Amino acid sequence: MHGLKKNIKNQNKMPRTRKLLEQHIIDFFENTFSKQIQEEPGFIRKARIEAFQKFKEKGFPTLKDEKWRKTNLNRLLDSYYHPVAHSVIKDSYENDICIVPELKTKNIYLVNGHYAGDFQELENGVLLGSIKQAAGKYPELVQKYFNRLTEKSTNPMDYLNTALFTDGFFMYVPENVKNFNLQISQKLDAPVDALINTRNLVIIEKDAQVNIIQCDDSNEHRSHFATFDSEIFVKENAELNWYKYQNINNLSALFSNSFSEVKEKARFYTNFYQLNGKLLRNEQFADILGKEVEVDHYGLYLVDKTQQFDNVIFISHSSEGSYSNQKFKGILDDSGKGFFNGQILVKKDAQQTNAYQKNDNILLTDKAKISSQPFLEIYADDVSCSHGSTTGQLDNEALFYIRQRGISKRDAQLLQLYAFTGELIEAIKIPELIEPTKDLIKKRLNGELDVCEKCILQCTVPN
Amino acid sequence: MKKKPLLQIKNLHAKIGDKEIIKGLNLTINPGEVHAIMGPNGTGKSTLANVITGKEGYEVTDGEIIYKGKNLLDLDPEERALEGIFLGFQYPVEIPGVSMTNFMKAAIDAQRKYKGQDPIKPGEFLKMYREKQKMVNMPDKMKNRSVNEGFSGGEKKKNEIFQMAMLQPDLAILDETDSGLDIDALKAVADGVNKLRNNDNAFLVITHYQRLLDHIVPDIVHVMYDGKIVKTGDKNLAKELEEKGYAWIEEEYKKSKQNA
Repeated sequence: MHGLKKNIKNQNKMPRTRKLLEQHIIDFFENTFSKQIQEEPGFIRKARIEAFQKFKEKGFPTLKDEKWRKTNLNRLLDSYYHPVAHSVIKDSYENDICIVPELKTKNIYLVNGHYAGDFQELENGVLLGSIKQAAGKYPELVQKYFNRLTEKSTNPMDYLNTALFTDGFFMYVPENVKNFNLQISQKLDAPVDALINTRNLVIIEKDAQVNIIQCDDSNEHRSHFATFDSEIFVKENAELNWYKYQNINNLSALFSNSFSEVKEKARFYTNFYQLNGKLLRNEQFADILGKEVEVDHYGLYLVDKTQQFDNVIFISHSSEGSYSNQKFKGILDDSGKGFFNGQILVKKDAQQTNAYQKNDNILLTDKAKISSQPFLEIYADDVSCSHGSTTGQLDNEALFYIRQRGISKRDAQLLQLYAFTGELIEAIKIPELIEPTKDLIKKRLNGELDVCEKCILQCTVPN
Repeated sequence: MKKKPLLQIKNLHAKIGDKEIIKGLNLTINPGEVHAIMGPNGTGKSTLANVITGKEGYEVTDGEIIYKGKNLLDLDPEERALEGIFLGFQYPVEIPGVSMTNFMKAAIDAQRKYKGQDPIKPGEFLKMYREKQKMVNMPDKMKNRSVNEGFSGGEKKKNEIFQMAMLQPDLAILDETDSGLDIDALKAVADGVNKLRNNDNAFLVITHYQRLLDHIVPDIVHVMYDGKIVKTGDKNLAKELEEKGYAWIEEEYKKSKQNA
């Protein structure tokens, strides 16, 4: 009797389903997956096994972990997720129209952690294709970069991703290639509730210039638990601009972590829009390794119902004379939650660093919550750093002013909310993206945005 | 032939929280008339403007406001605006991120929708916009700026008159539009009002000083004190107040209260 009681107590401490899911993943890796990866290059297998051991030890993050105190995964882990989703559903996605009008791009599709399409060696020397295929075709190149940045992570989500990724995209842009535009459609389209792990590697050589536009979609009815890890290398005087629009269903969670290394005079810019999903969490780690680097991370999160959207940013200044800027804005409605954790590290030798951070929020209800945590760690003495965080409601005086001009209360609110997002739209550097982005935000604020209605890329969902 | 009154306020009582501000106010405004309401600070002039336009936070405890034959107190602020009531704010609000042109386009289109019309054509809108800007002497570059953001005091007040000119209300209430204006801005504001005056619309000009009324000549002048209109006269009443101040009004009012 006594023993039974003790057991029940223990079960209450750790929800049974979390443990079961962890165990299930462990069993899957040990009994099934480890056999499937025997053909893989040794360096990948080694990385997987090390990461797996760490995951086995640690399990999923808990509320006790520093950066997870506000993000309770229990509400995701009470489901069963099939550890690998079906592979690609259609033979080819070439017929899917996936374009921002008037913008000339290469298009790629990532479906349930798989790369849909052939490996491409383009005329300008760009290599684009599945990361697994790249590891076979260009083992030295891939080995040089793969897992170099993620290896240092202590986030269990990265252990999971490294251990279990099915595939992902690899992009190598040689020196001096300019204006290379890539559009990525990620589709979470599992036929059963599934765990999906996608792993990417992006290398931009010296003086090259690249734009990436990414759209994350899902089907409407399945729970997906997805990780999306990217390692990004931006070499001397290169430029990478990455736009992302996330619009997945209300049952699914997507953890997108990026690790970047940015060299002298390089520019790395991201502008991410978190539009819909049960839980969206973007972690971005940027290591500035040279002078005159510019790193900009912009983000907008529009949260409602019981959704939670997180942004965890870490910018490390290791070299002098560089610039970084974090600007994140959120609108939280209903019982929506948000978490912003923005860290700036200025190392001892990183003199003349300019590093800025701003996080602004509007809460539309008493139940909506935002937790905003700026964190500056500065060891150099000649730097200019600032951070600021605001949380407020809509301005009632402005609301009355607008209504007094004959504009309905709802439209007056929308006008103000839309205006609040303006700063991020103004930061968009590709003119063709401005109108579609405005449309998406308006639709979302108006409650008209549906899953994959139509993402910015006007993709069609695979049938 | 006598026209139907545009606005009739009968025995209006209104409070903010527990504090009664309007204490039995009566006022009738006919089309074609310009009324001025004067009076010392804190007598409820701005509260009256806010109650007429439907600002939240005020409770009407007694009396009624009839506008164009309708019970105004049943309408939302935007419905009152669409019915032709315009308030020139004493303190115009800054709305960062909303450009003047977008704001005005939204307001004009809301009005047109209310009347069952299609949205205004961009060309037509811009033409009208330029015309009205000229009328109040506003530089063209201001149209790209956010509503009232970074405007000087004078620019904000001119901007109110500009919006009034765009929306062409039937009843315009100008709440201390003259405060903080230099003489040039004051003239521009008055010019704007005078150009819009006609036989079908009416103005209620709330002011502390007489000087605006040199430029906008009122038909009727009221003095407000302690939440009521205590004296009504013609434009000469405004001049009398300018010369003698408000003390004698106060005394007269107290005397009449004692007698009662």
